[in-house]
Amino acid sequence: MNATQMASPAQAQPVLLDVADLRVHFPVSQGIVFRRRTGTVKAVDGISFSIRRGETLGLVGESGCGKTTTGRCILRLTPSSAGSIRFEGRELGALSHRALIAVRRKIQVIFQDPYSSLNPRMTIGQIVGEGPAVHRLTRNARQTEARVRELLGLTGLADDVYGRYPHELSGGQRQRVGIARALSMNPMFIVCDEAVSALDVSIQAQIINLLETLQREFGLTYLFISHDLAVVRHISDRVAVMYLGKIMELAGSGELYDHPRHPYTQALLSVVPIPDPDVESRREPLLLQGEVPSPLNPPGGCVFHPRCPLATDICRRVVPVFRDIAAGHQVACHHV
Amino acid sequence: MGSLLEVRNLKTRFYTQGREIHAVDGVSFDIQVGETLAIVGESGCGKSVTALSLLSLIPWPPGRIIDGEVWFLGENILDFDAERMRRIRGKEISMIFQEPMTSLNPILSIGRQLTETVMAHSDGGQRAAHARAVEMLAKVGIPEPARRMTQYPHQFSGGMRQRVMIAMALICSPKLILADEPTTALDVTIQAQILALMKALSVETGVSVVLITHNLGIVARYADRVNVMYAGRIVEQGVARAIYAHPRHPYTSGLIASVPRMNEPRGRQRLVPIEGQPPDLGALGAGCRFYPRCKYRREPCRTNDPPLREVEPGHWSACLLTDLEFDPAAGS
Repeated sequence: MNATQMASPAQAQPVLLDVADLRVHFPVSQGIVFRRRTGTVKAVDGISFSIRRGETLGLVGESGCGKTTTGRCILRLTPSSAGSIRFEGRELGALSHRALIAVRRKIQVIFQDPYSSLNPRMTIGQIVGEGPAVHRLTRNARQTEARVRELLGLTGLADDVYGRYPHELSGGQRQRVGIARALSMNPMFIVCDEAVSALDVSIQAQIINLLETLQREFGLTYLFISHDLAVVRHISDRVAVMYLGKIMELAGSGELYDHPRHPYTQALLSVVPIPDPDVESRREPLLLQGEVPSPLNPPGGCVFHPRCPLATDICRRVVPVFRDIAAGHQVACHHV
Repeated sequence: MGSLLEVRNLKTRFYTQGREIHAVDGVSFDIQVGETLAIVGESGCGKSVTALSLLSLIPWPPGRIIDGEVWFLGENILDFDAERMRRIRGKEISMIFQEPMTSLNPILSIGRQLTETVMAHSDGGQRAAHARAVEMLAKVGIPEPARRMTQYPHQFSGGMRQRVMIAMALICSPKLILADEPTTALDVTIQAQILALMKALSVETGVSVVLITHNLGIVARYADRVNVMYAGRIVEQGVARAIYAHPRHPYTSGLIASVPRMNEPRGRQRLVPIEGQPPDLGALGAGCRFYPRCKYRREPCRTNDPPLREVEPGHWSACLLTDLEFDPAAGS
């Protein structure tokens, strides 16, 4: 079975989340008595993508590229400066407080660090049961407990975890608790923000498999944010590559990894070592010069131009348009 | 080529809350002149403690090296007193850590920290040390090295700080560098720059490198030989190519099967995780440490703790199963 066949059921599905020209700008100020605005960090600077029901969209990029901010914006944890986020066709920014609470139940998150995202003073039963009780998905304590125990089973945790505290669990178990908590709200959409990055590889594979199983079982839609390109390729139907607040390239996972068109994507993929010495001895990484510029003072024109091996004069002057180059394959580059 | 360093039966334990943690439990290996040897394993397997033990950097309390020998240039350096050990560290054997921000002094300039290292280990004066420091900064690819000498660690980016650490590690022309997760905190494009730099410098200077990492891709790209560690022990040892092509320990083969690979056809193949989790190093049983998680376990594995044995020339595995009994292709 190839990748396109696998992706086709999701393609027939309606769009669940649609992000258009999203911008998140943070003001930077100086001075203690007389605060003045000295600049703007453009953490996310005009990105557009959509996710269909049942699909996994991978969002990759290096630190500071804006991938986490994008996820937080969809969760309404960070306000957007401009642009639109539509969930099930409704603009999230235009919802009343009451309507937003109802939508929030459907949009859940799994964080990277299961150490800091679980309250150390609450038992696992309390952590997983809090959401359903608050949102009245369960009617009484007995129902809540039954629901929590069901969720623990679904996420592969032993039943005796119910009365334990987070510090008594291993990293992998804690991440399962984080997943159980997200599932407890019967969500449609889950933002997985570096959800497996803190785990050892043998445990990471357990959690990835669990996420895939749950997706099939409950028809979940994922935004999978990660810096790990191999994991993203494995889990995603489509992948967006971000750099300095912009999407550089977006395509089906097979297409993006087999035929990357943007010079940044090409460089990024070439530097990820493959765990096979024979393969590695035949590969030559394309080393990018320099480092990611400060988002406080991003380069003009194409933000990638100072590090780009193909950069010419137009790249320094004109911001490339994020455009279709083939069905379902978009690139922002003057030279593609 | 000969052995530069030989580790024999190294045992390091930690004593906390009335428990005895067998962090490193009888580890033996050697490092050849000019090679890059990887120590690979997951959190808590003892790979970092092994490196710290080589330089007697285990803090007491709570940790102590209770047994073993580390032979370097004909002497067992674990017998050295603090003063002799100090002369080895930074001069003959140096170390690069994961987080350069915590291993650089934030209130001293980069130049001061580099020249201090040179002057601690040589008789030359300040001027010679300064010249050497500028030369090293240029060598590790830091632009405007003379100006950067006067700056402080916070004025450097993560990648640049790690370059400074490499300059500091190489400044006294050591024979061995212990690099403990040197690029784990860095982005992949910077990681590639730093590892390529380390490789080029090791080829140029002939320094041996012990590369400690959890990343199987980095091992495949940079290591000549590999030690795979699990629960305080080396479970497999050999040439990198042989280990990846034909792992002889179920843990190694499980580790390789559990990582997604970018060069495989993408058909949403399921990953094959290793079920369960590593054992508690304070409450180890009698048998093989991997027994509870092993797909190929047999009754004898529960009670017999297998030593490393040579399964083919230069390739060692600590598993009771013969090659026929352990076949990754059949097991999955």
